[in-house]
Amino acid sequence: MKKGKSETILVVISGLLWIAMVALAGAGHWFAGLFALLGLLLVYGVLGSSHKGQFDLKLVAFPSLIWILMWAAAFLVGNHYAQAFEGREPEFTVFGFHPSFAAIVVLFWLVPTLLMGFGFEAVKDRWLSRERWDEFLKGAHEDEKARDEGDSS
Amino acid sequence: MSDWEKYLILASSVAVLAISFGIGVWAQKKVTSPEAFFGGAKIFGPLTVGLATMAAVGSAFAVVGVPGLVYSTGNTILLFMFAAPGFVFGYLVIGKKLRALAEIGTVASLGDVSDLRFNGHRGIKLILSLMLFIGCAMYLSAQVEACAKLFENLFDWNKLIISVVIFAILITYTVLSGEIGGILTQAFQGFVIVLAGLVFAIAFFAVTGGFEPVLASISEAGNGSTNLDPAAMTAWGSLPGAFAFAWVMLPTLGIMCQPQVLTRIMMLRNPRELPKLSLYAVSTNVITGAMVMAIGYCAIYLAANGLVEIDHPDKAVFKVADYLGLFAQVFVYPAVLAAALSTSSLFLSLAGNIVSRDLPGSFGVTMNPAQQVTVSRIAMSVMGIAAIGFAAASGDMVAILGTYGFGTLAAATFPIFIIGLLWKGATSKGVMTGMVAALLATVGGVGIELLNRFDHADFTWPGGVPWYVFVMATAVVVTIAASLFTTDDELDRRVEMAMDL
Repeated sequence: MKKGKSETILVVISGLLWIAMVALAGAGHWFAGLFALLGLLLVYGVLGSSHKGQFDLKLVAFPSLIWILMWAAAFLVGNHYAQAFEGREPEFTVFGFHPSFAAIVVLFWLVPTLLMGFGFEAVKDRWLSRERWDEFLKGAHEDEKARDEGDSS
Repeated sequence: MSDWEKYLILASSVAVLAISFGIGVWAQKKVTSPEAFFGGAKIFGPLTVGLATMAAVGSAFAVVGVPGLVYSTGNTILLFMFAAPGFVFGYLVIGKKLRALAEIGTVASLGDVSDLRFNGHRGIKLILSLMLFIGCAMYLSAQVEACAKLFENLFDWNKLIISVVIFAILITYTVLSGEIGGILTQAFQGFVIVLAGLVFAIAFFAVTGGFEPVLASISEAGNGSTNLDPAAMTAWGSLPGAFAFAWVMLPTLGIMCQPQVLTRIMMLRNPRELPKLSLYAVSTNVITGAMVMAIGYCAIYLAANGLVEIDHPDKAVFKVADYLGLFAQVFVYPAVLAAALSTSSLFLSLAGNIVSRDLPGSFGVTMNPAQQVTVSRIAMSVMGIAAIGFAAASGDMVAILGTYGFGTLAAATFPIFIIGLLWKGATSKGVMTGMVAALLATVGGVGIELLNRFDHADFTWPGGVPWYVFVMATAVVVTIAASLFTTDDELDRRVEMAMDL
């Protein structure tokens, strides 16, 4: 039996998502493959939030899930306008960009980057509190000391 | 362009080289132990590490190749440059676990982390070393080529001599100060890139008047002068959609396991500063992204309006800088040099670590720390010289290999550092099997690409998806599947504690 049943289930799901993502892209459905990628990111986000086998879903919800949703919106809006103005000039621009690319600039790049950058700083204590880090250092050093004593005796 | 202008541009680039050398020599004082030389010193703050990480990730390909691709194929490659949130995500997901491992025992290289997590499994370390070495060779040769091309636009100098001079200085300071000098020089070089980015972003608006005129110029000029179709300015650019997919996927999943990112996390003095580090890394990355977009768009606008002629996409950055005049040139040329130097010094150090520590360790050979430093210095020198020779002999092929480096490194590191740190059920046998699959798939993928390139084969990857996507997927899926069918390893209690953080 594998250690951490929930982690194992998530890792198996991640493997299936890898296969789905690459198979979709390889079959020519690259746009659908992008959404499989988003699912994969969510799984890694949940796995990364694990603390002693417990997932911190609040930490996943903000900022990672909001970022992933923004990327989904960027792909959908970007693709919508790419198809709407296919082979011709767009009827309008956003900040001077093709509306399709404007979705990428705003929802894929700038806003999510700010969200993730400042969001990570905002959840810093939840992600790794000083107490948790000190507890780790203490435990690791005690373990090392016990080994050293065991070796010398 | 007059001679004095050319020499002023040269002087600005030489200044970057001289300051980098000075920092490297000064940093030698900070190398107080062999571990510090190899990257085991946890003494740097978030700004230094953030700038160094951005500079090492933003290779010459980003500053020269990306604007060229924007000019020739539109927005597709910008998806790669704009995936900055992936940077933060990587730190969020594995940053504290990796940094915690650096507190256990002597951890100075990626091989040391692999040893801790997989109980000193020699096979994993061997294949990791081999794949990292292949990735280093690909990256280094591409940087040499970029340095050689840098002054080709200004002077009729011998490309080999240019690369020998630049790399001799780089090798000297890297050999003297190891990773300590590496991170400090990279931070300085990151600052140079950011400065150039700000200058270029402003220059772009001054020249074009904004993004709308660029869009209009494509429509008005037609295909003749810029080779762009209207699709180039959409979200996905004018390349097949498979590239848009690959260039979103690769940086997002690949950035969190790139050696440039992983090794720098271990050098941060306090893991609680990782959010600040990520903020610095992504904000400077955004400026670099804005710069390469501005250069690419400027090139489109200038070519479409008949103001410059660009005969090769890789020359777009220099042609735009030349059009903008001396003020832009004295920032752009040093920025290209800084990007090449920062990536090269990182990969030289990495190659030195592999040859002196990880590879001998994988064969059960141990050297004392002083011997390791000596062997590392020799290895860095040999690797640098070999990269110059390879770049000179191979011509354009190195540019192709440079783009392969990112995928190769990701395939090598993802099973160990992402799956391995997120899942206690990842077994050493499972990861070993995944690594063997990754190595075979990489050799096969590169082989097929080279056969295609030299017209010995005509193989098309399914859906037109770049080969390295399949390599990464193979490595990950085989690792997971093989781990499921093999028995869990007995983990060191401290490693479990680090993974539980």
